Amino acid sequence: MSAVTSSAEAAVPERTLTPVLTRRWPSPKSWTLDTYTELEGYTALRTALTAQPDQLIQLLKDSGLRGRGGAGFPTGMKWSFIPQVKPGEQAGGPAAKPKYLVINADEGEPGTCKDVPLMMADPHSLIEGCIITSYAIRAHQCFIYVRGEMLHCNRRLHQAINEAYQAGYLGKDILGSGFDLDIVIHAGAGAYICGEETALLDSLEGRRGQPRLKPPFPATSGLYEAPTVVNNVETICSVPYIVNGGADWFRSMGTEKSPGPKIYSISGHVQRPGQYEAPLGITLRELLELAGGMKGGPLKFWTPGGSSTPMLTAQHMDVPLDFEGAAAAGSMLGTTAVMVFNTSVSVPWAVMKWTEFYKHESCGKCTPCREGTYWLTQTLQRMVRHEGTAADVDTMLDVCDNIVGRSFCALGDGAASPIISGIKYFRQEFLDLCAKQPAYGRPQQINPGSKVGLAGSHR
Amino acid sequence: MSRAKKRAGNPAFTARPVAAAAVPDQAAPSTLTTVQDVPVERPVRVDTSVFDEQTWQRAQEIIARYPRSRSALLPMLHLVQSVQGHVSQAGIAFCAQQLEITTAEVSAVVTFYTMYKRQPSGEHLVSVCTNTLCAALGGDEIYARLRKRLGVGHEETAGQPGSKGSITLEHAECLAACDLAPVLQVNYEFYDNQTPESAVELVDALRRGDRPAPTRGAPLTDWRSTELQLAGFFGEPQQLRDAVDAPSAAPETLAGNQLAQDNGWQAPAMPDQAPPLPTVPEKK
Repeated sequence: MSAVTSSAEAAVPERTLTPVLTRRWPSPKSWTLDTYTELEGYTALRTALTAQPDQLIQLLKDSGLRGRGGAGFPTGMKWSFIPQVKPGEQAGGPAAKPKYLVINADEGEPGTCKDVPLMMADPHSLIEGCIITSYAIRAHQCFIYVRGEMLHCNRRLHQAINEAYQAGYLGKDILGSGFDLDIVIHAGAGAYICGEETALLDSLEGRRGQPRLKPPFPATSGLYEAPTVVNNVETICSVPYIVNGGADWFRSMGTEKSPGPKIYSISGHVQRPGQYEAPLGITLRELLELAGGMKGGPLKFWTPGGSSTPMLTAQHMDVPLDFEGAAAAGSMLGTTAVMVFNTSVSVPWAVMKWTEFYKHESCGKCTPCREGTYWLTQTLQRMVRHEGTAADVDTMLDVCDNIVGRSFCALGDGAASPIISGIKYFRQEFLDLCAKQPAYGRPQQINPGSKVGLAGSHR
Repeated sequence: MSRAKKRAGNPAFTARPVAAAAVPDQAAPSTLTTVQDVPVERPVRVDTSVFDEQTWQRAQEIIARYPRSRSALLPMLHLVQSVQGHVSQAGIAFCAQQLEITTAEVSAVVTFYTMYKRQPSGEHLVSVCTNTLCAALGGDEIYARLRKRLGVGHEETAGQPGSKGSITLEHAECLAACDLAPVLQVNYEFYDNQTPESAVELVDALRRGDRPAPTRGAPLTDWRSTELQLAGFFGEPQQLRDAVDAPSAAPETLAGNQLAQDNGWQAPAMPDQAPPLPTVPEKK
């Protein structure tokens, strides 16, 4: 890595919050082109259009930007996987096909609420990011797949696109560069699974949103079987800043392996819930301090990045919230949707609610997830009704064991996360719910006289 | 009535003028057959006249947005809902005709997505987030109170569907506004930081025919109008401009910003000039 200008860093010792992506949010009518251009908007685009596309890909690699949608895949590397026709070569195979950029704006992971305010407040930063990215991967068509329920986002994006077309930032021969790009806003229709990139692509093709088997990966066979980059909103919004500030500037925030600023969304039992943009690696203790501390009772459990990231407890308050830190603590960084719960919340109940969500949102394509989430919901509902048995706890872990790694996409793994982590840290709470029940080993529901039949019994 | 008979009386299923020998006997639904080799013709006898010339034009406009027509299906179903207030058999047939796919292919999509309603819906759609975080902060209670107040359950309508003041209620999954929990939406506009009392007040007002302003989002219209917007039709430019400028930022949205400003915290300053881009091996 190149040397960071350390003198600039030393001048400002304490940087608790670092508004970059959120910087324009408080400006009057921050969503308009006028405000955006007044605040350096579309300057990065001008720089980018003078460069070779490969230079931009290299810049992104140098910056170390990692995907902000949850998985944390290095963005520059993702872009470099798009097959391009090499000089002097005959165009053939995937490289000869049109390339597509698809923005995953289907924010729906429980707890996650960063992309919606970002698109509402600063839609042009997403559009500028889309143009630069499309130029880098040599795409001439970009789709922004926005969650259907986010109507106001949809509006703001539509208006921003209209403005961008009128100003010559979109369409043919953008700013005289010879580069053409069209962006289409595509509203979803209410399916969490469409946040999974291949399900999103199927949905965008007008089908049920069900994940595809990988490989082939979208980089070679994505939308319309053509090379496609699918990136999260916050990832693409970061791109113009990286072009303007450079890789070293970007790396002056965050950690070596998880550089840059990140929007942490703090919700739940805290005094001041909201959006806090900080360098990656901030801890929950620091975030809670910023958010004014707990409300209504001490901390009991929390998620670092949505319900699919295993829950953590008060003992994890000093875990650095970057990709490595969260993983080392047995969780994941996810979407940095920090949901905070105090001691008034029952863990089995919370886990039940999340499991009901995964059951509703399971697309039904693969058996472990479809059946597993169904039966886990039944089991948890029964436990919460005080009708469970101690054996149910192990049964659930067994079912989770059959889902994790055996389902088609990450939804199955995500569904098991709250259960496995909930039992790991709060097993006694589950057992206490069963205290009134006789501790027989076999759950009541498989009694042949019971109304509920066994799955697949065909009776 | 047997399922086969029901189907026989349903125009969507009788409308395939395929040679009798080519299709499996409909009276024996237990026979599993593959239809791959059967020439499928589009239904012609479903009455789609409810979709007027303008809707046809809009459907074609949606198709024109995409490199492949089938991509238009999701927005087109939003369009269909804006006309009829739900996706009917006619709506399914309409999409199938526009996209030259089968009604079965359209139905498969309709049944997958939560936002497509298969029963006629109310003037307003009230969606209460009952996912864990909202629920823990009062979302469950809000939903229970609204159910009681309106006398309906999930995806049921209080009042004659489509009539003034009619409300379809639903519990929703996480609505991506957790910092403003508990939240609910009316026609996908946000009402933040709700209580059971404020929510009851809100639906009472809607039942009366009033349209209280959302916390974040454009002035309330009705569910069908919002469905037209989701299909990508926002009316006249000035109409869109006005709707766009409606409020979006809650104090929570700006909490971090405010704190940074109060304390003088900033991100490290960028270089005055964008640094030179990295060099890459010349490819010409």
